Amino acid sequence: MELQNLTIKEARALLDEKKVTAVELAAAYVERAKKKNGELNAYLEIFDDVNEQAQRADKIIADGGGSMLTGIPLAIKDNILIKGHIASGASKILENYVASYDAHVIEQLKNVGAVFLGRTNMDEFAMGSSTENSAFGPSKNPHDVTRIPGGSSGGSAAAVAGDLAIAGLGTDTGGSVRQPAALCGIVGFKPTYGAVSRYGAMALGSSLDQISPFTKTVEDAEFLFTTIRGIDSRDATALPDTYFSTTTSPKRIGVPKKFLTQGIDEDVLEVFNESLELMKKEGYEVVDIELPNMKYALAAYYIVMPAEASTNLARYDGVRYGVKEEGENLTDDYMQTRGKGFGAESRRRILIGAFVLSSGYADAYYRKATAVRELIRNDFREAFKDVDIIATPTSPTPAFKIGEKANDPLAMYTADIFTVPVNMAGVPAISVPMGTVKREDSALPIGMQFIAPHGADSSLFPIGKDFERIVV
Amino acid sequence: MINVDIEKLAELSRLAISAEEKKELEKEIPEILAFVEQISEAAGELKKETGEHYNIMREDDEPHESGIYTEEMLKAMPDEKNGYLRVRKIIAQD
Repeated sequence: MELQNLTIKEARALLDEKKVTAVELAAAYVERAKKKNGELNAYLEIFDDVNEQAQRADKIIADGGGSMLTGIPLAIKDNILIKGHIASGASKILENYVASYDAHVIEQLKNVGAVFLGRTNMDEFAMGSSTENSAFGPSKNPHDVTRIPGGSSGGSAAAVAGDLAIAGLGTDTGGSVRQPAALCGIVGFKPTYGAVSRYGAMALGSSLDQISPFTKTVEDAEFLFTTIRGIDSRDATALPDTYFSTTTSPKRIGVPKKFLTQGIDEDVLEVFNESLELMKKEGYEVVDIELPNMKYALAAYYIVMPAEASTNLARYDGVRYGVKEEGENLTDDYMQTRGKGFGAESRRRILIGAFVLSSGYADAYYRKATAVRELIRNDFREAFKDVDIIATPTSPTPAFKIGEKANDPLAMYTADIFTVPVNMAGVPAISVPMGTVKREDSALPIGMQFIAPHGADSSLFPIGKDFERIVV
Repeated sequence: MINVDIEKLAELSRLAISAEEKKELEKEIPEILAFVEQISEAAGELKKETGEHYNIMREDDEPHESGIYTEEMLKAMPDEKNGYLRVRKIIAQD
């Protein structure tokens, strides 16, 4: 069957009209995934229970039940727990860890009979922008396999973009879903902080993390989001439904022009400006806005995030689960387990986190960064008094070459410059394909990022749909 | 550039690092810190954090039926015996 660019909506129609069964659909994806995964390394594992899952979905459909996601084959990032399956966070330290329970989002998806094809590659514990920090080798961009798919959720992005799944889940701490979505030419949507329960997602930066969908269309992102969102008593930051505003149709777009001048490729900025012209023709108003503290966002993020990461990663000590390396004594057990289990970037961020939290430095680094974070939040708050949506490119560059930035951590960090402020403020944002730019012989996708105020997640869908219609 | 005691940080973090990596980190970490230090130019004042982040606590009762995860948790342990997690002896006898 023809899988190319198949959407959730189209697959739903095929399933409901009995043109295909969930078992046939899943088998077609497994076959394609097995054929293409050698090249893309999108999946760390293609599950062997896909057929049983699909049978369950067919039964739900036959019984007249089900919803939009019933029987839809999905790619799940390797840091989201599916009971009975390995969840490694693409780390050696959890290489053989079998999840003891289902994440909240997995429960929601199992309830409606969605099908999990496999677990996808990522930067170790979601730290990175390219998947090169995976302990199991990088994933490749389906548009040019010499290039990275973005990260950290690069495996899910490559799987969806390469038609190795209809849609997928990732986690977005500083852009880890929007950036790979942009670089792979698909849609990535980070909901408001607290919109989706993180129960069963491996914690990285707990004040930043959000489970987020990858899809081929904005409409599909809405379907997947609707299925996984909602209050859950096991995540104390999960927000009640009343927090979220009903859909509005945003018309006034703010662009932080001054912030978009440094470190961005000229042709990316050009395509961005052309896209805004198209939006104007569509009836949108585009105005220049100031976000004066945005220039500090990346620096503040690379203090807050490692601080939280070093704290969260303290749990991986080889005592209760995961890989264990014996040392000379208990302390040495920890040292050896963690020294061997964590990759280079994880070790780097653990040490930075320990530094910025340490006595004598915490005021100048961690506490100052949280103060700056307040300024960033306030910038957004002020800007949204005047505009409905803020637009930026998702990433300042298209996909770079594998290895190009691997030895320069700071260069890698700048890939997140436009996505990080969104997590710092906790607001929702969506990346929608914005055309391509040329590098060597490849036409490489880039993305448009639309940002909405807290709780206005649903406002991103109408503008996103308009955008994908007018930008071809 | 700020001088960072990598060995001390690694000890605090319970992280064994090789001499070679230590040398690399002694260069990389101060570079990263020099980059993030630009926040000192921002106007933000140190105060107690307020704002969007707050916890919504559940009722203090049984979150789930007792024991339903025990079997799975035991299976995940690197060293388990008779339903117990076996750990290294940490009190010396002398």
